[in-house]
Amino acid sequence: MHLPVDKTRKIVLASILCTIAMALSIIDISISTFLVLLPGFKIGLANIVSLFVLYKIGLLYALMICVTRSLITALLSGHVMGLFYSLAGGLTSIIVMFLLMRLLGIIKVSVTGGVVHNIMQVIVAIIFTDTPQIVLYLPILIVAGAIGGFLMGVLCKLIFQKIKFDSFPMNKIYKNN
Amino acid sequence: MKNSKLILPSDILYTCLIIVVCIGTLLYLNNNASVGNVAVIRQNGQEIARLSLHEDRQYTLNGDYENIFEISNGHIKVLSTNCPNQQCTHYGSIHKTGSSIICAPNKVSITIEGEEDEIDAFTG
Repeated sequence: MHLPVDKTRKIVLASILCTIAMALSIIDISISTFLVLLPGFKIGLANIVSLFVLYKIGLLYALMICVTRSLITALLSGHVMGLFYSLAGGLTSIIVMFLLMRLLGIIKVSVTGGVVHNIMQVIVAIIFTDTPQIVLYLPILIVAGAIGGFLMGVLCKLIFQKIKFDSFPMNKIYKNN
Repeated sequence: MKNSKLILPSDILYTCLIIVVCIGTLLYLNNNASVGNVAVIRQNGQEIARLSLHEDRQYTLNGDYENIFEISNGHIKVLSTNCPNQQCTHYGSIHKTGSSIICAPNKVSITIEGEEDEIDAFTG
């Protein structure tokens, strides 16, 4: 017997996931500033939460969680320039993933989302720093984004397979593969 | 979700496809920025001179300050200048269509432009 999925339960789940996303985002910043030369650039670790929310709750909550965690993470960590990069990458990748959800399986969706995330970050970097030469970084960033998206997708699929979230049915429009 | 395989072969294929498509697009776009043929020198937005990149020469331009450009080997660079920030001399040489060097104090810009027909070889 399952409780109905009403707004309160959605909000509670969304809040918990938002906190997880913020923690992942802060780890993300630490790893990224250490490994990558581009300022404000992120490996998309927190995108796994976006993926999860897209499949379990819906598009609106995914977008809201993305905005909230970007804002709070920027305030907490002090990396305010990273805010624009996160917002641009995160929101665009969520929208693209939502559009692809009904066509492709979760891993392919996640790969596409990761690549789109990185491409948007490069575009934002070019606009903000006014150096079109940053586009030369795109090949390596695309590969990194694809691999990151792949790993996040595999992890998310594993979570969905092993852990039963019966109280939250899957989003109606996804394609099962 | 069903208790089926975690990673399908099509997933790996899709990842590689995305990587190849994106990098392929980038390479295609980059190759269209080919080697340029003429350097257009503008001062205050007005076109001052069009110098062919194929003949080695030096060109002096006077304005608020003096710039001396040098063309050699299909490349153009700012040889020397007496303007306060020496950015333009440190920039190096350019030869690709679309690239530019700017001397802001002197309000001068050099831009490389190509011509419509691609020359396969050039003798003389």
